[in-house]
Amino acid sequence: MKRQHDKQHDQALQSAFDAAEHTPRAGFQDELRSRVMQADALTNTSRRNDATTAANKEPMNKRNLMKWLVASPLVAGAALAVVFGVRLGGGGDTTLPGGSQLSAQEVFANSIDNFFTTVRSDEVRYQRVRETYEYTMDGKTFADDSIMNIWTAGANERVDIYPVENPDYDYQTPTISSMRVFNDDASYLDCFYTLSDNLYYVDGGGREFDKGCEEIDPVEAWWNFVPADTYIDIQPSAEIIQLREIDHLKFTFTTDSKLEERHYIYFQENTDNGSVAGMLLDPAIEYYSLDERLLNQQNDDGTYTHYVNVSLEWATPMVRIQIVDENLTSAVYEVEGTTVTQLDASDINALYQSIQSESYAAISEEVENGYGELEGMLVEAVENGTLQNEETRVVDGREQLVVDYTVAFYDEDEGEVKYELTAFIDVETAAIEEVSIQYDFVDAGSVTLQIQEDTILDTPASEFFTEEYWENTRPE
Amino acid sequence: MALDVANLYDTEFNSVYQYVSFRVRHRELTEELVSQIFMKVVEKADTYKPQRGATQRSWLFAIVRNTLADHFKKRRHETVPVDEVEVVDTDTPSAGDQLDTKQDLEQMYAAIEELPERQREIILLRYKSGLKNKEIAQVLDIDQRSVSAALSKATNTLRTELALSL
Repeated sequence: MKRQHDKQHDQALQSAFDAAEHTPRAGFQDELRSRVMQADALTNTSRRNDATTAANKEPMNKRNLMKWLVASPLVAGAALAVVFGVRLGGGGDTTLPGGSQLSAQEVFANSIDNFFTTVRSDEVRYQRVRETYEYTMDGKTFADDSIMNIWTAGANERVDIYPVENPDYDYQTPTISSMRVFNDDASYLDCFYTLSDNLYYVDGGGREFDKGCEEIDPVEAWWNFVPADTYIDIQPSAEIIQLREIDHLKFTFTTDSKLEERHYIYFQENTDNGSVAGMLLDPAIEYYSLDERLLNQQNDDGTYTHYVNVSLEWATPMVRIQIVDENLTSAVYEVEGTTVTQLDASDINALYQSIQSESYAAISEEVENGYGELEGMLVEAVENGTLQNEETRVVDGREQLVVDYTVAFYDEDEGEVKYELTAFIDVETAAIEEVSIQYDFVDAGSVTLQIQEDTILDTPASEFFTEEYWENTRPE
Repeated sequence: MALDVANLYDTEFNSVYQYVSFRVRHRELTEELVSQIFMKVVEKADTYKPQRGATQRSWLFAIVRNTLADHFKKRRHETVPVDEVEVVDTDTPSAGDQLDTKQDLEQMYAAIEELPERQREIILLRYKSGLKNKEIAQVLDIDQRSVSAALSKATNTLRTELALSL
């Protein structure tokens, strides 16, 4: 009955929007179609000519850059992972399998407090889970014979788990997952697995980790993962010597040598108050963020100027540019106005730590404030019987309501932080079976921790979000 | 799979036009932006990667969204008086029954403007452009469940604000 009622509401809203139909000027659609078709014909001709020319040349820089950009949910997430220490922008959930060493309550509590999962184990462990886990990506649950490698790190080390998208494979079947282990000194280690079950590693901290990891082929790895910040051994093979014309939309920079397919560039901007606003390679703009025609314009003095057009979402008092080559060495430049300064490792680490702590403090406060609101909403909804379920699902033969709530903190200037919760509530027992928490940073991606653990099962919904429950179950 | 620009244009012109028009509410500006969007489609057609999971539609609307974002960055959103908006009522009896005056329309615009930006995008992608939740998730690069959650909140808000009766 309720679903039928929802459908009627949906139809009423659709009708309201239909009534506000905007009619194009007579002839506009045909006029534009003619122009579009003409442009398409010209472009196709040009592409055919380019393809013929390119067949006898080196691989085009753009092609490789675009290939990299196609993987940008990970790229963006990976880059910001260092800043925020969490997976960002991947567009999917990260489900911790039931076999994980992590306590659901730990994850739940730590996610609110720190955005990090602090693993309380004494040693680094490596767990391979085959055919026993599920994860979700883009809201779709996968349970196949892929393997998820779960690393847990030593005390006070942080763990970040996320699936890695490989553009060479079907997007809907993300067959690669990756794990990043952060150390307190901001070094980290990454492991990968591929469809062929080859395991690779990149050790940002410069240490061997596990025999299960094989040395990565840097070029191959690059398609799967861009190291967010490699602070060690900064040896740029193409050095920025000038950067100018920074504004919110585009800037140029000049290097002493040609940028080639082995170079990759990404950008990071900070807001006025110093907190990181977001990775600039938003998947929504990746298709035209970098244009081959605007790269490697040779100057009379032998240098090369690169015109980069990136849509920046925020005020940009500072931009960081990183060039990375196939050896995974990189250069990080801090740009302010028209001044570019190459940062050494200690500077970058200090910046990283600063940004990190500021971000955590601000976000943690927001989330804590919002939690009370969320708690009140859900308790009230349960008591009033007004849960707005988008849908139901059946797990092990038991029907569950899917309940979504969002608490948003929005400020025109500061942007939006959203706190979203999805609760799966058993229809018969009213027990919360599973809780998914999502923090959304508009334009910066999202973080989702999904919890499914016995400790949450059979907790009546009306009790789950009480202060007493929260306090009693929250780990120190 | 190559992008069929002609087919994409024919099938999606109206959904793009409606979305853009509803966002900017100015006919000439809408024409300008819609033109830009489809020219970008032509320009970027070879970057469409179906294996990435994006449908042509979600790829197109990523461009739509980005074009609008660029536009709004360059100039503050200028709300156009409702009288200047070309509104053609539909033949839908139920629609006419529920939204048949300029006041109603103005109320609808106001209600949408009050929504948080993400909810506003989602509600228009859904109801003006007819995208499915999965496609919206791809366009915005967020989880499909987030789309559902935002959509639920936005529709509840609009139902209340517009006092849609059943």
